[in-house]
Parts: sequence; structure tokens; C-alpha cells
Amino acid sequence: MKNGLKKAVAVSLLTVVVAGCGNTGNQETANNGGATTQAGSGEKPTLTFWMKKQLFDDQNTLITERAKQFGEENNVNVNVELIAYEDFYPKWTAAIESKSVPDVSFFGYQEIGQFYGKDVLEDVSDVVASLQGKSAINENTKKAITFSGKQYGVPFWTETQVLYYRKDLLANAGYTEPPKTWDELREMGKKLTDTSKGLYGIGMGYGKGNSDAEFLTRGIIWSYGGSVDTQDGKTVIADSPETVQAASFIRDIFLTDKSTPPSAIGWDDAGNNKAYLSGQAAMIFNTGSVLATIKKDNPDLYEKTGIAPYPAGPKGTFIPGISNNLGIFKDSKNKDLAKKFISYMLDKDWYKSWIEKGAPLTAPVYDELAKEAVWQGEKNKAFVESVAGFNFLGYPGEYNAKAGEVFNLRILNDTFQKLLLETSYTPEAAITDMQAKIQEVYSK
Amino acid sequence: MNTNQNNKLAYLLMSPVLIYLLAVMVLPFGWALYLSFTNKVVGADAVFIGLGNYLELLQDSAFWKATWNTVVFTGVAVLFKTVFGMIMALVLNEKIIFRNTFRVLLFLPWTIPTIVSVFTWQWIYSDVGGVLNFLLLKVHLIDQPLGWLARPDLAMFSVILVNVWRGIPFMGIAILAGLQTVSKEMYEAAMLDGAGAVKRFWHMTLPSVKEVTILAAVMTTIWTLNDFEIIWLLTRGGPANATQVLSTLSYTIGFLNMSLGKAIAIAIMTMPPLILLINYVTKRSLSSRD
Repeated sequence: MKNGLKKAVAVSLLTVVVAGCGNTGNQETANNGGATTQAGSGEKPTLTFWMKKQLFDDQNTLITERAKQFGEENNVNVNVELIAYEDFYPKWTAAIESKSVPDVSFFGYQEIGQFYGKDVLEDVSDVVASLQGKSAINENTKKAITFSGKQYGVPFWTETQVLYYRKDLLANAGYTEPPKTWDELREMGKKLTDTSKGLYGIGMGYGKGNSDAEFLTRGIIWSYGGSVDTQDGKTVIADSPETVQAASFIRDIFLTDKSTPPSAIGWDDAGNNKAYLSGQAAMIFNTGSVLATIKKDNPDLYEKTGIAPYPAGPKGTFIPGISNNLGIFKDSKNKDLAKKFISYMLDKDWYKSWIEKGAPLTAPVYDELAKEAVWQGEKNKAFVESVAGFNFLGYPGEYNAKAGEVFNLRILNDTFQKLLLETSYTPEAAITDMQAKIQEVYSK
Repeated sequence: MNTNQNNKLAYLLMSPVLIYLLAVMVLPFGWALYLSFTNKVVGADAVFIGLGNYLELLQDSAFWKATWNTVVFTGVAVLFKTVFGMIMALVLNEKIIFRNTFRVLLFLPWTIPTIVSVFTWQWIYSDVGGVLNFLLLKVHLIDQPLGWLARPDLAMFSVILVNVWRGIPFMGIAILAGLQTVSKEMYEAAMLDGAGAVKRFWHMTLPSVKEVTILAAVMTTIWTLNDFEIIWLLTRGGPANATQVLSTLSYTIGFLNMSLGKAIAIAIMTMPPLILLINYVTKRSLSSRD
């Protein structure tokens, strides 16, 4: 009897310990971003919002305040997490697997495609239609997040890569205008390069994981008439003379002309920013982040900076679109609230103030707002005007989940890094290898 | 109480620890092991594919390159950390002026957060305003800045250098602790017998700190094998996979490519050497206490 009592007490104690551990775990899950409606009736539901941390603090503050305001107006707790882009993947992965997803999350359109392919995103066509009813959303931005006629993300802002050039350095070299074609860019790059002064004509980087390079390389390949994806969504058409021609052009800039800084092959996304800000590169391709930074911190460089759209290749100018969106996971437990929240964030009056705080990095998705004075200035114009000409991953075919995966795997980056590092590796061989790797993704 | 009752009570008292180990180690490991035999990708159900991931990896040149890089990175880094750690310990064991200040300064790299030291090194290696290129240019060893993290040969050297810089203090402090136990009288006797500094080091110092040096080297080998942050933050495994090690490859495949099954298979494949090393450390440290 005594033994029985001892056992009962011990088992009870252990049960309490185990139960305690279990409760703690659940609590943490909820706090770590799980979409939760509080168990007890009458308690406020909690809406979790994962937002990309913006370059400008004003935008971060504004969006956090707006989310809180939504909470107050709708009697919900809103948990906002501002997350650096590079930290999103591990968080999304863990969230999807644990089914403890945020209710609303930021997604680049490439992730929308990738996650649509995994069937984890909610159809938000109704939100897009409702917003569209109030003010026209740029058609091109919707293309990238539309699959089988339905939208799986709500366009939130766009970013555009443009050519930054040093007006003073170009003038010293005898140029009055920025390059209009890739060949002109190459010629100018050569002429502007002066290694004795540590100055290089073109700041293009190919570090592992560099996303700027993934977009820029596509823009160059497309303008030569090549592709890195498919026409029909199945057969990759990368291995073509046009793609090889584009690869040879890039290789010549690095290896023949040596118009790029020696460390450029290892640059991450910030590499070309640093090169331009430090005066190491006379021309770079970047989004509006550099312009916004120098306007604030280096007015002299701002004055010396010119902005132009991508140069043209033999087939014209092709601008890779960068569209950023808000979306909802299928496992969200507050889908209706999440939809309401997204609509609230895209309320045009508030949205205008938020988007303009990030100009020219963050451009509006509403056609009407693109006509505002802030976007009509000499330097900002190219950022909104490019949106109509956006081409998306998957070109010449429609954007699809596999094209998103090819982008995220950085297959182009790896191919070009090898091409630029191994002198015996020919553009033909590089493109053949690249085709095989991309086809592998499409065939899976 | 008889033996049977004692055993039961012992098991009962041990059970919280056992349950804890089961919950945080055995079950997750078992689950991970199972996933490595599946084609698990994020957002999809896992389908059992047996040794599919392992066979695929064994045929993948990127995996073998990462394995080789891991061996080079770990081997070279541990060797240099041990050698310089020994030198550091020997110097700090002497009665030098400002010894305590030097001790603090030399242990600093170990205490600075990795992210801070890596960003500092990024700046040191930079070709724009980087101090390393500046110094080499000043002494005319190079005629234009080098891309320390952009050239495959230099990139591996660069990441090893940062790992060595961070790891020396641990080796130094471990060996220094060993040196403190060596009797001063023994050295004095050897000096009276005419033994020089080199002889004293080989025949007295080294044998005295051999055990602690081996243990610290094995510990640091385990950490270096698992090192992720330094390489990821400096090169992300590039250029052209020149610094891709198994930990960065596993992360890339698991979190960026979202192929969890394959990523876990890589992690599982790195376990045998780790288990051997941990077993070695455990046995050695326990036997030394006996």
C-alpha cells in the first residue's frame, strides 16, 4: 500500500512536470508568431503580421503604428514582426512545417510563386478585386501573383533596378548622356576605368546569393533575345545563341575589359551600393535604395548622380520586375481578419503617406499614386515608369512556381560566378550547364 | 529496502532526466533520421524513399566538394589554432610586464559576438578602404587591391584566418590552465642541468600539457566542423562553392531550396566523425578524472 502511494505521488509529480513542459512549449509557439485566436471566449484574437524590415525607419514606424491602429479599431491584438529579408526563409520554413504561420506575411513575388506551387497560400482574389474597385492597381504587378486566374498575394509595392551613373565622371570621359545600349555601357565602362585611381567603370557583382545579379543577368539575357526559363512551362530554352551572346558580353566586361572591381565576383547585394557610395564604381544597377541613401547622407554625390533605365540589347530594353506583396497562408486561423487587415494597409490615403516615405525605393502599386509629384522628379521618374514594362521570372512564358524556384536557387549566379572565375570555362559550356540545372528544376 | 526496490526508486528519480532527454534529443533525432529517408520538402507530406537522399548526395559533386572543403577548413584551422594557442599560452605563462592586460586583450576575440567580428573582418578584407589591401599596397606587395573573398583560393584562406583568429583564445586558455599546473621547481632543476629552452619545451612542457592540448584540440575540431556563421556571413559558401562546407550546404538545401529530407541527410552524414570525437573527449576526460 505504501509502495503504491509512493508510486502514485511520483507519477503525479512527473505528470505535472511533463504537463508544465508541454504548456510552456505551446505558449512559446503562440508567442513566436503562431496565428492564434485565444482559446477563451471573449478574449481578443491575435493577428500576427510578418513584414519585411524596410530600409527607412519612418516606413517601419508608420506601418507598425498602422497595424496597432487596426488592432484598436477592430478589437484585436496585432503582433507585428519586422524581419530582415534574408531571415524570412528559415522563419517561413519553420512556420509552414509547424503550421504555426503568421496571419499576414510579406512575400516577394518569387516566393508567392514558390509557395503557390506548394499549395500553402490562400486565394486573395477577393481582396485584390475589392481594392481594385476603389483604385486601379497596376496590371503588371498583378500578373506576377496570378495563377490560374486567381491572385495569391496582394501587390504592396514595387522596386525597380535602374542604371546609376556619375554625371561628372561621364562628362570627364567625354559623355553627355548615359549609355542607351549594352554595347555603349561596355565602351563607357572601359573608358571610365582607371585602376591607378581605384576607379572602375561598372559595378556589377556576382557574389553567391546576390539577388541583384539574378535580376540584372536576366535583364541582359532577355534583351539579347535569350531566356533562362521556358515558353511552355516545361521545356527550358536557355541554351540558345542569344543567351550565349549575353554571357559572352558579361564575361568580356569582367575578364577582357576588367571594368569591374576585383572583388565584384564576391559581392553580396550591398556590394555595388558600397562601390558607388565610395566612388569605386562610376555606374551601377540598383533599386532606389542607393538614391534615397545619398539624398540624405551625401547631397554632393546625389547631385552628381544620374538615373536612367536599363540599356537596350539587340531585342530592346527588358526590365526585370520586382514586386512585393502581402499574402495569407492557408493555415492562418484568422483568414477573414487577415484579409481585412491587408485591405486596411492598402487604404489609399494612408498608403500614399507610407509609400512616399520610401521613395524612390518603394514605388506605389496604384496607378493614380504614380502620378503624384514625388514620382515626377527627374531622378524618381524612371522608378515608376519602368513598372509598365516589367518582365517577370519565367519570361518568355508566364511566371510560374518553377521560375521562382530557379531564381531562389541562384542558378544564374552560380553559373556566372564560375564563368568569371575559370578562364577555361567557355560561355557555351556555362550556358549548357545552366540549361541542365534549370531543366532539372522544371522536370522535378 | 531491498535491491529491487532501490532500483525502482533509482529509475523513478532518474525518469525526469530520461524524459527530458527523450523529449529534446532522442525523439527529435529519431524524427530527423526518419525525415532523411524521405523526400520531405517544405509544405508537402514526406514520402519514404529509403536511401534515396544519401545515394543522391554520394553522386553529387557539390556534396563531395563541400566534404573536402570541410576537411580542409577544419584541419587547417585546428592546426593553426593549436600552434598559435600554444604560443599564446607559453607567452602568457611567463612573468611579462602587463601580463594580465595582455591576457585580457588576447582573449577578446573569443568574447566578441561572431556577427561583430565577421563584419569587422569584412571591412578588413574589403577592396574599398580595407586595411589589409591598404597595407599590402603600401609595402608594394601588391599593385592593386585583392578580392580576398572573391577569389576561390583566397576566400578559403580568408575564412580560415577569421576562424583561427576567433579560436586561438580558447586553445590558449586551455593550454595556459595546463601550464599553471607544471611545477616551477622541475624547470629550475632542468635549467641547472643545462637544458635549453627548446629542450625544456619538448621534454617537459609538451608532455605536461599534452593531454589538455589534445582535449582542447578535439573540442575545437568539433566546433570547427560545425562552424556556420563565419563562412555564411563572409562568403555564403562562394565564390564558385570554394568555401562551401557541409553546414552551409545543408542550410542552403534545407532552408533556401526547402528540401528538408536531403538537408537532414547531409547533417546525419556529418555525425559519425562528430560522434567519434565526442566519444573520444568523453572517454578521455572521464578517465583523466578517475
